[in-house]
Amino acid sequence: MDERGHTFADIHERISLLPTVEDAIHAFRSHYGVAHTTYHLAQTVMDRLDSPFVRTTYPSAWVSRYLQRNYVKLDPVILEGTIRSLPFDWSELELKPEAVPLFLDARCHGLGASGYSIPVVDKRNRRALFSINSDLTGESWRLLIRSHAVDWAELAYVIHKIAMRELYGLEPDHLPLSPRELECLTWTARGKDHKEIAIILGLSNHTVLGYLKSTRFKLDCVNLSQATSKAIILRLIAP
Amino acid sequence: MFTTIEAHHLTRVPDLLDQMFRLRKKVFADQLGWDVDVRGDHERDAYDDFRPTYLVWCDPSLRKLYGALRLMPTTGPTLLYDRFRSTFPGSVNLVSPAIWEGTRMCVDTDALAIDHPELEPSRAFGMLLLALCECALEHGIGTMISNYEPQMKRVYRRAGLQVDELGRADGYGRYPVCCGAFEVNHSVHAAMQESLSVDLPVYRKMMPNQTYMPLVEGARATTREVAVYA
Repeated sequence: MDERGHTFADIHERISLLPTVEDAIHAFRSHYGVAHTTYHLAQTVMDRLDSPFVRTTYPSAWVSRYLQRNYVKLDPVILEGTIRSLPFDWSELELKPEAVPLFLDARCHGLGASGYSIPVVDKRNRRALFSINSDLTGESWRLLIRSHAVDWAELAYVIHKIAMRELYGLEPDHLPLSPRELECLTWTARGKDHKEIAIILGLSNHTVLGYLKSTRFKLDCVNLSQATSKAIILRLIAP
Repeated sequence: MFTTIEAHHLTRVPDLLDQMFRLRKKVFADQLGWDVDVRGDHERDAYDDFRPTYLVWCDPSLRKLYGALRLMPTTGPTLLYDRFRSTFPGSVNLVSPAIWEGTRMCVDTDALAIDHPELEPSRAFGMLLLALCECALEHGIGTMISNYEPQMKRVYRRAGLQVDELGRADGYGRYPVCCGAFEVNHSVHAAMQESLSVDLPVYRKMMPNQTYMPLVEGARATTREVAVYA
């Protein structure tokens, strides 16, 4: 169903089967050929007592430097990113004078010049930030974001689910499917496309696509055939 | 101008937020009679405490508010999911990073009558919808869901926007409240621009240090904005 074809389905499936966030961020990096990727679970209820869960592909020299200098207190990606909700380019960040050395130091440690971060928030209001660092700049960087923003947002949530599994050991419960979502999925399993379903259920094409998009996300599936087989296995539908 | 205020900006624009919460009280509690949380002169609920993103329409100095709405991703806690799920069990639990919820959308007709007297209220609302469409496009959002009263459907249509009603319920205010969805893509955007006779982008992201812009700087409206409001 995805016009972007196999590549996104491949990487989505590959990442969702990986056991750890560490594996996932490396797979993401090599698939998209970006310089680095980082998953940062924001500190939760316990605040300062709670050590944050961070996985990154940054070189270890930079990670030690970052910790040693306590850059987290200055880093606008973290300071703003863990409370923002829309995805953002690092050029949108407020660069306070005291944070300038952090960016210069980052460049000296081989980090790319550009960055893009996707805030993640789940139904339990847990927040995380998935960041991509790149050597590209200017128009080629903007083009890369424009062509992948939607897929990357989806992958950020796949990686967040891996983090939840890794941290809490439990397979996250699937969000319940609504009756409309189940109806649309049942008709999909019976071989109808979204236009036919729209006619059958008396809804608009876009509404049906919205229900199917949501169904696919709730079932962690990259496409509808995966979602229908999973729903049949879980006995959510009986087409 | 139309821009987004995110959590880290909130403390820098206290006046704008104060105006927004007052406007929301005036519109949703006083005029529409919705059963909403009123705290003093403000309409403000638990979802505002989560520090969401607000799309605002304000003057370039970020001091005077003309309209606003609240944006939340459907992957997280959302008003329509929590509050309306029992009323519209079949339809209102869409969850996806590409589906966002827009609630408490309102325009300040009094402020607009003073600063932009040429703008009719329904067109003003249409401009805010256009900004919402651009903001969504800019951030990879493909579907917006929202709640509104049935008569708003005409306003949406006049702005060139096709809203699909997912369900409606009584008991929230004087009129039924509908929950609807609309698609966001380049052709929807083009249709809105055509209906509203606007040919330049109206929304722009908040860029660094914009909130520190001195008043004199802000007072100098660009020709682009003049064209948009005219």
